[in-house]
Amino acid sequence: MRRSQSFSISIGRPYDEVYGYLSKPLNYQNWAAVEPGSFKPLDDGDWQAETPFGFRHFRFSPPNRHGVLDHAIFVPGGEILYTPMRVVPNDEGTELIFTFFRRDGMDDAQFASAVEWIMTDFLALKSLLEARNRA
Amino acid sequence: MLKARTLTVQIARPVKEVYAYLVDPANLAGWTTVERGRPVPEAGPLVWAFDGPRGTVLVHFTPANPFFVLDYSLHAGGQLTQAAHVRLIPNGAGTVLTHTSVQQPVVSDAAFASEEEWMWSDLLVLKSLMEA
Repeated sequence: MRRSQSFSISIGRPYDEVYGYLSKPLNYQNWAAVEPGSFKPLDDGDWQAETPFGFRHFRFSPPNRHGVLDHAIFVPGGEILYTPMRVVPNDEGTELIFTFFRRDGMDDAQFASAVEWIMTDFLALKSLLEARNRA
Repeated sequence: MLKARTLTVQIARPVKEVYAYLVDPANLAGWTTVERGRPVPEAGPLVWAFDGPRGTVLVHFTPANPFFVLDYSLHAGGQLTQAAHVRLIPNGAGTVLTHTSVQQPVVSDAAFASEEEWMWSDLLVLKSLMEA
């Protein structure tokens, strides 16, 4: 088993809106660290993009009624490790829960640093979602 | 928005095994403080009644699904007292369980904190039971 860390973030927008936005893979480039313009769909349903770590493929959960929004970022042909993510309704807003798994070769300090980077991505996502559709 | 709290526990058993156990409402009494439950079909297809330390509660379960989602809600005295979102995540040969509770309007801060402590100890019982 890999070490993992889970977080939840409250988003002040309705669940249907948040799920609707996040379940469209095209929107991923608006909040995750991919090179603008390089994020493109592939024939098999996966996506591709340039990232700060190199060229990667992406795979997303199929649409579902449970708010599950996992995504995997992987070297083509390499191991597929998902970042599990889910959104659930919280009153008039939404709770987003995600889990990050320690990668091979990552020591404790690198794991902690990766978790901080991911946290930054998700805070950016929260700001993005809360700023959308605001009058 | 309501206060939400997420608890996480790693269980060193395969996700399919943990899910098969938890998806059956009859097993709830195996790792929590509730007594043996009974289905209440007139209240819904996956609604069970359990007698516990604080009287009888109705629990609404989630139908089996390929995402290992195990959401449930508790109703006591006609009111929604607890709503939780539970998911199992495969972690190699093991499982990560995330349990997110949303504090319902009828639940005080103190009662919510206490419930979370109970839940945490229940989850540790579940972990021990599964790993034994």
